[in-house]
Amino acid sequence: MNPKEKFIIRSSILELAETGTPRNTSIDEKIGMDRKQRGNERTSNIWDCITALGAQLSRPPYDPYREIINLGVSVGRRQCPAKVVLSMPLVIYDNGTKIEETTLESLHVALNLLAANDNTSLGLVSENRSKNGRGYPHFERIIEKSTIEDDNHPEGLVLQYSNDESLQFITDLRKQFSGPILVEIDDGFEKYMGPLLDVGVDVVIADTIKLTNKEKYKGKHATAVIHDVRCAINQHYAGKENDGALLMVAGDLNNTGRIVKAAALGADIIGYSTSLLIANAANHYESSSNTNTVPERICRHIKATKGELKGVPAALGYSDFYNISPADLRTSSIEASLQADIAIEGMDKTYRQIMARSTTGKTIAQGMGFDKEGKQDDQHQKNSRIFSDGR
Amino acid sequence: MCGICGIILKDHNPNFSIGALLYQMMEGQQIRAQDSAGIAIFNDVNTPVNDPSCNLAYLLESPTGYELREKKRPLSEQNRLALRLTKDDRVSIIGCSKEMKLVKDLGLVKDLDKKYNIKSMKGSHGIGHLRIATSSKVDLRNAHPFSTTVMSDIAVVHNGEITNYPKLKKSLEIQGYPFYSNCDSEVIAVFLADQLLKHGDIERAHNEFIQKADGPFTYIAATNHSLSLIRDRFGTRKGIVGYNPGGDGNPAFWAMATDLSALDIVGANEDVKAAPPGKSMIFTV
Repeated sequence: MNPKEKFIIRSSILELAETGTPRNTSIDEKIGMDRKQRGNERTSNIWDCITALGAQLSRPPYDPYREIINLGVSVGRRQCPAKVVLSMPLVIYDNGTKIEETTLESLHVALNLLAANDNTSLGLVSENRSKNGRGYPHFERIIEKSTIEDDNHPEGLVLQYSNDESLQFITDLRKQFSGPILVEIDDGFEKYMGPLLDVGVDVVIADTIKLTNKEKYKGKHATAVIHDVRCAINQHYAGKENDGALLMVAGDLNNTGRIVKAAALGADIIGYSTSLLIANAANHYESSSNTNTVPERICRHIKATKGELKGVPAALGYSDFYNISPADLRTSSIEASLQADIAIEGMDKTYRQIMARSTTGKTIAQGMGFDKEGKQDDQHQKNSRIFSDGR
Repeated sequence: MCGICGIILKDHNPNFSIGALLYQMMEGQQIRAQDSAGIAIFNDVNTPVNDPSCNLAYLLESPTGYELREKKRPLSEQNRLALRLTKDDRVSIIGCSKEMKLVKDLGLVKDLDKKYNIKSMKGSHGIGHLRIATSSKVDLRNAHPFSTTVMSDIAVVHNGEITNYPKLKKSLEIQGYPFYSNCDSEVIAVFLADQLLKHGDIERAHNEFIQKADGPFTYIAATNHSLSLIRDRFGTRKGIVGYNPGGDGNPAFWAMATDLSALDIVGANEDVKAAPPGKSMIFTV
């Protein structure tokens, strides 16, 4: 019995002694509920079970290709007339709720400061009307049957996929709107990903918090969602070249480590709400909201994140952030390997591959000449000696 | 570090033993790498021009080593045949060829010559490679040159690293292109074949690769009509070209290699220059 369970028993006894009333739930039930919750916590710690393989640091002859790291990304497929270029693979994400005006003002100032002083164009996803005088791209959330205003229209549009009628709405929208169209999917995405991309959607948004609460992903982690959505997009492009369709992933990606891991699993853009939190926290908890200090705090945070986002790909051996791939990840967790097809630490195979048999009917171990007792046959031993001698 | 080399005759002379020159260049660079050696030579005069078939070449492991085998099929059937053959763990796919002869083996260049008599091989141009394994196993599957079953008569030798190889490989696999090894160099051959199928312009294909590939690399790519030397946009790995004007019955040729010693050994001492970073130097037959 672990300390937590002992605590439950002890606290139940103390509660009874204090209140004198019978418990509604038995101690066994409480322990069971605690174990179930810890099971969910274990699932949520999968991010911490994933590591990225590092390249060697710069070595002689000096490798200058990692001096300048590209973070920019163009949003909009080949047929999108007015593409949007982001300086970083991040978009400030509203989590599907309308942003309060004071918070929005802080974000607006911060994003303008970043654009003017740091040449950083960071996007904003929100339901609010686009602000005048903005130096950043705004992706406005709309509902179906919305009309696009002629004045100050946003750089991109975001909508939630609901049913087949959404496809018709997007088709009509594509004709009148020249910027990128972003669509947030639900857990039925595998059925409609093909048609969704066929009607011209530029970015598919997967909110992992919402999706992992759906029945399909109950008990699974965000990594499983990212993996599956990426596979669905890749399947649509089987046999042809991707013409610029992107995957945006949002949900609990609040530090550079998780951003890099999500990117390695297939995300092209991360929906990032930490800046929103900074702005919210300032407005709720400080005695007076200060439209100078809050934007400055957001700017410093974004600049630090940008530096980290450059440093990690460089350490992985890339001069372009978007060259990170699943091959850069390893995991110590069988669960992570199963959910997101990540290779197990110390190997270059996923758990499924390790357990699978080859078409000759042999396991990997058998293919290497090992018998049930772990002894290797003479031919494979000889081959190992030849290759290790280099002859 | 790997040693690469290439030779192209100024005037088409498929009866010249270009293999002998490649052998000398490779022997001159042997100190760089000893894991495996391979060459690809082009313009076999015996190939009928309008034959739609090509040979799928592969190496079959036997108790005494590897045997080179070929099966002739239309190009459209080569992928299916290759995938069937790779179900046998003893098979290492080389590629499709009409005018190309590609041989490779573990060990030194003298071992390769002993087995395949490369010094006597004739053609108008060819490439050679000496491998020291860095990112994949010492295995014949990972030996250069690399070709592809997507298109016939394309071969690549490479020095350096394509660090975003997994991403490039994945994007090509999604498009349906097969891979037969875990070596990053194979992606160059498949990428170039994909580009050539789309637009047929070899210079544009190389430029696309320079833009898309990450990491330090120099490679020499050969098709049945061209030989190209390409360096990454920072020029982090060497690549030099020199010219031998010929004479005394010997043809003139251009030679390219990683080491100057390889050019010296074949007398390609004129107009020696390094390939510009981020650009391709293309020679045509």
